[in-house]
Amino acid sequence: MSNKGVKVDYLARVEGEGSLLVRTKDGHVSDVKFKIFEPPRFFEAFLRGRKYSEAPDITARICGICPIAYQMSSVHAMEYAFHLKVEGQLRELRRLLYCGEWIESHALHVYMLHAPDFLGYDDAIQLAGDHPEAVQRGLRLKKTGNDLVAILAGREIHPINVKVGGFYKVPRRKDFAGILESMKRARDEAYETVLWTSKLPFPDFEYDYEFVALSHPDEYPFNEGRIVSNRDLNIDVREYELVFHERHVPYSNALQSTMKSPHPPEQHETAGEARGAYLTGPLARFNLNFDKLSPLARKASEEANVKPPTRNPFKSIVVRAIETLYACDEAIRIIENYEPPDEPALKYEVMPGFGFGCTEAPRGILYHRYLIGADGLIKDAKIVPPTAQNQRMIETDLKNFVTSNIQMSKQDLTLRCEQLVRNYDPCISCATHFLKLDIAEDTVT
Amino acid sequence: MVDASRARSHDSVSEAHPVVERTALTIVGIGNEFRGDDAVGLLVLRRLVKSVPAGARTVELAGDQTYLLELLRSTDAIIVVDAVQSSAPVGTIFRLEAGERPVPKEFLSFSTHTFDSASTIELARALGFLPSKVLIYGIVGKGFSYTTRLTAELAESIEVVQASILNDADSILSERTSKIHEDLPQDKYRY
Repeated sequence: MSNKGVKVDYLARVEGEGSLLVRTKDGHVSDVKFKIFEPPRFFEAFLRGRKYSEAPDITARICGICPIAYQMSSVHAMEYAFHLKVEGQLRELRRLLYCGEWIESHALHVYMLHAPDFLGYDDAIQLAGDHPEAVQRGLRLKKTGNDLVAILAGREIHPINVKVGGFYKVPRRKDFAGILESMKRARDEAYETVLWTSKLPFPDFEYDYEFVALSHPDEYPFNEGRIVSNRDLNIDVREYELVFHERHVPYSNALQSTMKSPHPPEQHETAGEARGAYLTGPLARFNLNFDKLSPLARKASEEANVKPPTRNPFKSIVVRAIETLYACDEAIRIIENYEPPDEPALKYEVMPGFGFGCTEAPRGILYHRYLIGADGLIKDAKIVPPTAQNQRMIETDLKNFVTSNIQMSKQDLTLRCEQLVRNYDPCISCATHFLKLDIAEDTVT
Repeated sequence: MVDASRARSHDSVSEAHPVVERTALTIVGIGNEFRGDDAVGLLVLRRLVKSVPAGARTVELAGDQTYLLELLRSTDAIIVVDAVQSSAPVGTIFRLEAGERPVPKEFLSFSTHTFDSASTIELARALGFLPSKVLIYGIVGKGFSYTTRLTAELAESIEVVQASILNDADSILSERTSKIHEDLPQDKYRY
């Protein structure tokens, strides 16, 4: 049996810089390395000594695609430390802001980055040549998300209007006049997107994942909830580091996350101590929170024949479309019921202590933990982005996919492996604390 | 991304709602000011913003390049200045006319942005709304790490590109004015 390998020096259509190497020998995968060489940015280090109130704007700079997620996780962490609970219309505005980010991020990934893989194009430019209406639809969706974020956050990228306790300024009802109509059009186009993606050709590949996502009793999760899995995980956000830990691997600048057992040592024999890789992101949220989707999003899922449990990671493109539809639906609900709050933010007292925040970024759960001093300065910070958490699962997927498709030509295998990585919509800049792909002829001797 | 004209005014959050009105010429500086030489496009734009002729709009873009599509839809001509990575010496200036012919593939891959400006221009061409006049200035940088410091050799390139863009802007707008005059019915000139 011949030796074969997959080597991609620079992964395209992902955010940031990384690569992939899969080595095979005698028909078996001998090595998989998901390498992140985007340099680390040391955000956690330079947050130390900064005022607690600077964290939302500093951490938003970690990512140009999901800055809202960073702002949300940081303000929730600070509010945890200050025993502050944001409710009512301010809470609704935060959900609305997250809707905007999900719509813009998911639309970009579905149409510009992931769809070309399924239809055999090198990129969105080629896709636009043959399917201009689909690409235009994606661009309109994305613009609607951008516009919503701009209304609430001050601007689409590097938002500046979120603060601990609420917002610096809240919109008036009339500020939503234009976006409401475009959001209703976006909802129709998101429904079309669900059906369009459901007709794409999906490789036959499944895995029995441990899905990890937030879960809230009353709503599809954005900002709040317990961290749960399809196995027996059900913890409060403050228990995150008891269950998840990060490890450094020599070939990557991003720490890899794995799961420990959530049970005490005496129960390890039955519960299993090492749980290893897990999957966070749209597929996890969908499988664990399907009943919390809006009726319209559930109807679209049924029509697309994508229902939980969905274990084919390539179908994440359909799930992103379903979540886009949900976000449009939820945004319309919030806008139609909006009453401006009396104050743009709650008053609070700065208190020393630990703050924990975990919210659902478009790519999965984003964990922040801070230690705040009595002087309001950040003494310590820990940030675990979703791509860092998914790294090990990506490697596991690659190993399993190549193993079961070893007969595939090297060229096809390489393309499929790239597509597989893009199932996760990895954000390498965020993770670097990540992607270029290598499937190379195996040179292992 | 930041529209320079909006970035200074946040009196009302609604003012930040991106409304892109049709204009004769758009000049776009692209870059990330926290990643070393990647900021060079922004710096060129900031240097020329006060000298641009009437009828030209200036826009800074950082991060999400899809807003560039909105600008391409809504302008008769566009000049884009961005940093590039290349084996050419630092400070080398590329000037491409991309309105009539595609951006060379090598240039696309040289961009430092994931969904880069050249790819965005090609996407607009594929979708049929690329303006007929598209100029791309690419300035070769050296260091793209996390710093606000620029490589010293770029200072001269910034001045050269700034002057060249202002010349381009003048000629694009005067060509357009001549065209408007040619298109006007002759009796209009009597007034």
